[in-house]
Amino acid sequence: MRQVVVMGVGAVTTLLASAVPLHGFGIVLVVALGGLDILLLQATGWLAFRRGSGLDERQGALRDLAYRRGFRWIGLAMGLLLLVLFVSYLVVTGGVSAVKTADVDTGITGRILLATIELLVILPTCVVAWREEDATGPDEDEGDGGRSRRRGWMAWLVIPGILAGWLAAVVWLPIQSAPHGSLSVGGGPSNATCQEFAGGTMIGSEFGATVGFRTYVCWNGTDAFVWGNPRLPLLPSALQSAGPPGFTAPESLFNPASPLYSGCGLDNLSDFAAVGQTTCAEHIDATGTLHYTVKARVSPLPFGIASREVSVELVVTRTGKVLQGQGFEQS
Amino acid sequence: VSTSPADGRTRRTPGFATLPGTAGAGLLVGAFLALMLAPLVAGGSSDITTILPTIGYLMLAFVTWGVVAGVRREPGSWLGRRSVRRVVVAAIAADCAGVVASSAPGIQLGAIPLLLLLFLVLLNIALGRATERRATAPDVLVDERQEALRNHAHRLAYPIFAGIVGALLIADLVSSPSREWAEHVLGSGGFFVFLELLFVLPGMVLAVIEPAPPPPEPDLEGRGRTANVRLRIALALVFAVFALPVVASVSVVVLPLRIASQVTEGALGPEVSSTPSSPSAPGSPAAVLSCHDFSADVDAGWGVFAEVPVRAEWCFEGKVLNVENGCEGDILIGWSQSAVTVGPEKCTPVTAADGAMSVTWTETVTPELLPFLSRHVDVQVIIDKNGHVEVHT
Repeated sequence: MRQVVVMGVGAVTTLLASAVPLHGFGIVLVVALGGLDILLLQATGWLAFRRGSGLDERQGALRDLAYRRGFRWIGLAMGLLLLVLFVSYLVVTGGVSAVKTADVDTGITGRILLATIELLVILPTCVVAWREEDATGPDEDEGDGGRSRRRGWMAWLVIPGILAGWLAAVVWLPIQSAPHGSLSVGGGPSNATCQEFAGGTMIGSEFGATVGFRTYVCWNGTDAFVWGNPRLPLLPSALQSAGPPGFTAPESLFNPASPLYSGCGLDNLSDFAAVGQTTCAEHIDATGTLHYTVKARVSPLPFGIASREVSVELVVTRTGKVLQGQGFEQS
Repeated sequence: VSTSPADGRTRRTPGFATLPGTAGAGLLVGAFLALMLAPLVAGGSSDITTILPTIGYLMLAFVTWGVVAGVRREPGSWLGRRSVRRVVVAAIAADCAGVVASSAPGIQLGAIPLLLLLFLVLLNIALGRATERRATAPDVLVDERQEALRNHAHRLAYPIFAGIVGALLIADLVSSPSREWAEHVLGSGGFFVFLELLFVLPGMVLAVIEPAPPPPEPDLEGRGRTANVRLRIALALVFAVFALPVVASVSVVVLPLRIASQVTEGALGPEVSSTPSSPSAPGSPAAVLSCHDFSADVDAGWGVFAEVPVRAEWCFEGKVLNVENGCEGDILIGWSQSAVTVGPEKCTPVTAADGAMSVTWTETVTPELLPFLSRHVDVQVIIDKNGHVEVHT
């Protein structure tokens, strides 16, 4: 039975570390992991975390052996998780957008972070549990059954604690910026200078959601405009300057749909909270300055409970100077 | 089973359990080297002379590793003393901290991180000898007391490792700058520190908690002080492994420059000129364009080296030499480097009245291991009016 729970921990950790989309339900996996961990800890009598003074010689030896085996497993397990992440990513994306989705740099994602913490916390206990014949039962403290039972049910309070901490993080933690991860050049109208901008806003740090954007901004000295998203039409001035004098080209010729450059909502991360109602809008003012705004609603719970409206803005002048936007002002 | 004469404790006989691993590693390295060399030999490539020092160095490092692994600590040797072990552990910790600090974003320390990593390797060898690599030894090579001690060391090392990894993960959570720091450190020297902790931290803890060894018995004391031939060879090899990169770095500055490859020259044309810059009058027949190329390699250093591949192309339209711009046009010079930095470069083209072209490239070559040494390298390519090429260094 204990070995089944160990395998369950491995399966859920693998799923958590993979690139399989969670659509905001990552917290369910975390709660499941928490439950499995508590089952394992109780089945092993919390041996891996007990002080040496309360253990007999055999238990102390088993605990120390579990830490040695656990230490050896850490490196292998981390390597396997990274392999799972890589392979599942290729499977999920079909190997197409492997480079482009790295545009928004969200650091070590919450999924990998939690999977790593899980490995560090539970591996010695897994070793103890796997050696079923050596494992100690939950009632090792004879004559102290009351305290043991109290510790048994108190452990389950960790689950609502995790839920409360996660909800508080998503609702109250300050918003953090996610900078660009890579910049690519190329494409765009021939008479304009263009640059890709990518960035985003993280809600709940790594345990919430990221509202990201990628946009290919061009400027020709008259206007700055978004290229590659036909839903954001080019200004007539941009179209006229793009073609020969006296010829106004059809927009589909100069502004083809290029979602890898200017996709809307493609860089959202919704592992632990759902991201919906994403809108991307541009406004070019009288001076030719582009105001590009991405708005979205982040909902940790169903039915929009405790949701937050998030807005990210990028402002680029007609000469390519960035006035506002995810750290690009310094470049 | 057998009994260790030093402490009287039971030691399980190792037998030949480690031989398959050693042979397997040797086969693996041999196959790796064969895979690297086979295409070069088959293709008759001149790159083989470039890669040979690297392969030789790798083989030396592998042999050194094997010899050092085979040397056991003599009872009573100074490296086994508790205080010495703790100093080694402290040095490893300080070295790791230095590697992490030098890996922070925006810090440019040249070859210092590399030197710290090399020093870390040296310290690891010392720690391995001081603890006789008991933390990772196969079960058959340790007795029950040692088994218990190393298990205890792992239990103490585990929370330390978890704490350090946890600190890194917290840095990923706190803010954007700390996230950038964590990513940058993990993507550079911090990764090696992570591997160091993963594989060596239990050994470090073991070196700290292991009791002082019992005083050697009189007959063993004499034997312990006796110079061990294998130990001397191992020390010499370790010294060579660390000294060779330094010597090779000095060679970049000391050895004379040489033109390594054979000069080749040949006609690419004739072709018909169609460029707008052609002097042919409109409507007249196109002039016959005869093009030639030239290549040479100028090398500085051996093992650690900078190679200057000189490539030049020029054309004759009739009897008129056409080399438009020596620095950006038909003459191309680039650097390939190995553990050296090159720059800043300066290019000086001179066109004589008779049409001959002279281009002089001036570079500063600095070995990364010894950044306080540098050398100015001048490469001059001269194409005279008849198309003859000379390279001067």
